[in-house]
Amino acid sequence: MKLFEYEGKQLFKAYDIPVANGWLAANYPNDLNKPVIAKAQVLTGGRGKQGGIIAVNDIKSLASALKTIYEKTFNGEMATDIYIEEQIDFTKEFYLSIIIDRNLKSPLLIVSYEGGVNIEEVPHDKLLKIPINPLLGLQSYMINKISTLLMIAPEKVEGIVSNLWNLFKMEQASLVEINPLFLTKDGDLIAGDAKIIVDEAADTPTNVNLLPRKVNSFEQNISNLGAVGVEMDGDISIVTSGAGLGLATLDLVRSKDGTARALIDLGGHVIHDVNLARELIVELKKLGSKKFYFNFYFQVAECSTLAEAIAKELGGTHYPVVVRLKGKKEKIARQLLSEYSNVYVTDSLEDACISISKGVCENGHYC
Amino acid sequence: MAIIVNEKSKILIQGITGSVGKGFAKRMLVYHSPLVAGVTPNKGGQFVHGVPVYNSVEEAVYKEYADTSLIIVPPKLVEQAALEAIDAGIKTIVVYSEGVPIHDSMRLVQYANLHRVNLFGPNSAGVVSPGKANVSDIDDSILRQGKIGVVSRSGTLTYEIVEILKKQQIGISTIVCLGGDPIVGVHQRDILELFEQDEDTDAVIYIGEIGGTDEVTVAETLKGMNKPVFAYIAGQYAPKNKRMGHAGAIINNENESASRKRELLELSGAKVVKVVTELEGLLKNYFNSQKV
Repeated sequence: MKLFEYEGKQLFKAYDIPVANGWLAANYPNDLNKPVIAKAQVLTGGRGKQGGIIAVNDIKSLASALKTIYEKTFNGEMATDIYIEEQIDFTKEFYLSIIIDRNLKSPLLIVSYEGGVNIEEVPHDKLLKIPINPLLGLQSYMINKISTLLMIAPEKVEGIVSNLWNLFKMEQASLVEINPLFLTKDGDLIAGDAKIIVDEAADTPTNVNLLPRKVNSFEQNISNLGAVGVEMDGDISIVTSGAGLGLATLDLVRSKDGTARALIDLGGHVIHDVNLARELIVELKKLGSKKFYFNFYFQVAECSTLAEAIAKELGGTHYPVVVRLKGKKEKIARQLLSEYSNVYVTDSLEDACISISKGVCENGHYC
Repeated sequence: MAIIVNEKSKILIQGITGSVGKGFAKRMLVYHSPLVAGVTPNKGGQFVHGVPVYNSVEEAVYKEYADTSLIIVPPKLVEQAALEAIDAGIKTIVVYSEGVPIHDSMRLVQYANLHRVNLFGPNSAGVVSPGKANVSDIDDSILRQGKIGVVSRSGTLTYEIVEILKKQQIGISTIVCLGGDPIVGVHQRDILELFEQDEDTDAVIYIGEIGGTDEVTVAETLKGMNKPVFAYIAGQYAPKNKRMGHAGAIINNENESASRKRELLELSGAKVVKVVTELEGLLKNYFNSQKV
C-alpha cells in the first residue's frame, strides 16, 4: 500500500526522523502567518512538475494556492487533501532511500549528494548504493561511507539513516524515500518529502491517521473476495486458475484479436466456495463484460465448484461463455454446463481462445 | 539422475496435519514418492495416512533422515518453519504457501543461501522428477518420465506445459517451479546449469514472465549451454505498472517487459515462442529432427 506524504510524515515523527511542522488544510491555524509550502496529497508521482507544490509567503496567498491545487489533477488524480508545512531554510538538498532489490534479494540503501531531482539523472560519482543484509542490518561502515559522500559528520548522518532503517524494517516497507533531504544552515538534516510503500501481505501500519482512498472499486471488490483482478478496456472477462496461466491466456486471446475487459486470477480461496465464485461473476457483470472466458486447470481444487457457479450465474443468459476446464472432477463439471447453449466447453486451450475471440457457430453455440 | 529430487530423497511435510498437507501426503503415498515424515508442533505421535508426525524438524531428521521439506503452513508462519528446517540440516526446501510477507522472504532466502540450501518459493508449485519423487502440486497421473527439463516461475502455466508434453508423449526429467513472488530463493540460472550437467536431460523448456530482470542473467547462462532451450515469456499484452496476479509480475520499466526478455533469450540462442501453444509445434519439429 502506497502512503500519502501526510501519512508518511506521521511515521517519520514516530521514528524520530525530523520533519517540518505541518497541518492538513482544514487544521491550519488561522493565526499563523509564516512562509509555508502547500502540497497536494496524491498517490501519483511527479506532483511538483504538475503544479502540486506551491510556496507562499503569507496567509493571504495561502487560500488562493489551495484553490489552485484543488482545481488541478495530477496524472488524472485529484488531490485528496493538501498538506501545509512551514518552509525550511536550507543550504543543500540530498536524497536518501531504502528499496527492496529483487536481484540482490535484499534491501538497498541509496544516497545521493544531489536531491530534489529525479534520482535516475544523478551522475554515478554522486550516488551510493549499499546493499543491507536483512539478517545483519545497518552497519557503521555504511554510515561512514554516507558521511564521506555528503561531507557531513557521521553523528549527524547516523541518526536519520538508522531511524529510517528501523522504520523500513518495523513497518515492513518495500520503499521509503526522502527526496529532498534538507541540510539546514545549522547543519541539521530534515525530511522534505516522505514516500512510503508498505507490504500488503504484512500488517497495515498502526498509529497512523489514514486519508480516505479513492480506489478502483472493481479491483478492490475482487481483492475482498480473495482473488486478484485487473481491469482493462476490452470485451472479454478472462478468469483463470492462476497468475501465470492468466498471463498466457491473455497473450493467446490477444493474438487471436480478442480484447480483455478484465483478467482474474482466482487464487486459493474462491475456487473452494460456490458463493464466492458467484459473487465474483456478479462483479464482472457489473463491470460491463460482453463475454466470459473461464480457463481453469485444477490439481488440488475441484472443477465442479466453479462450474456450478458458472451454471447458476451465466447458464441460459445472453452472454457468450467459453469454459476450458481440466483436472479434478472435470466430468461432473462438464455435465453441469452441458445443458446451456450459450456455454461452450472444451478442454483445448487453443480452441477455447479462438472460440472466445472469434465466436463459435456450430452445434447451437453462439456466434 | 534427474535434478533436485529423486527416488533417494527423504521427504518431510511441514504442516502435514492441515487439509492441504494431508492431500499432498495421500498423493505421495499413492504414487510412491519417498515421503518419510510430517511435522506439526504439538501433534507429534499422530499419524497421517500412516506417516509419522513429529513435533520438530530436528526430530524428523534424527528419526527418519528427512532431507527435503515441503512447507504448507499459513503465510505468517512460513519464516519460522523454514528457519527451523534449515537449522535442522534440511538441504532442499519447497515453500508452497502463498502471501508470505516480503521482509520474511528476504530473511529466509538470505539464510538459506548462507547454509547452501536450495529454497524454492515462497509461492512455488514445487519440484517433481516424474516416477522418482514429487514435491509439487502437479498430479502424478499426468506426468511421464523422460528427457525434458522444465523450469518456470508459475505453477498453473507449468500444467499447460505438462499438457503439451503429454499430448506428444514426451517425458520429463524434472520440473522446477521457482515461485511467483518478487523475492524467491533459487534462481533460474542455477537450474539451467543443473539441467546442462544432468545426463537424464536432453533439452529444456524455460517459462518466464514479465517483471524483474532475471532474464539478463539467464541469457548469459544460455550462452554457455549446449542443450537446446525452448522458451516462452508470459505477459506480452499485460498493461504497465499493474500487478498481474503474481506479486512479482509487474512491468516497472521497459527492461521488464515480455518483448525485451524475449529478445534477450533469442540473442542467446534460445528458441522463443510468442504464445504458449506454439511450443507444441516447436517441440514436434525438434523431436522429428532428432529421430532422423
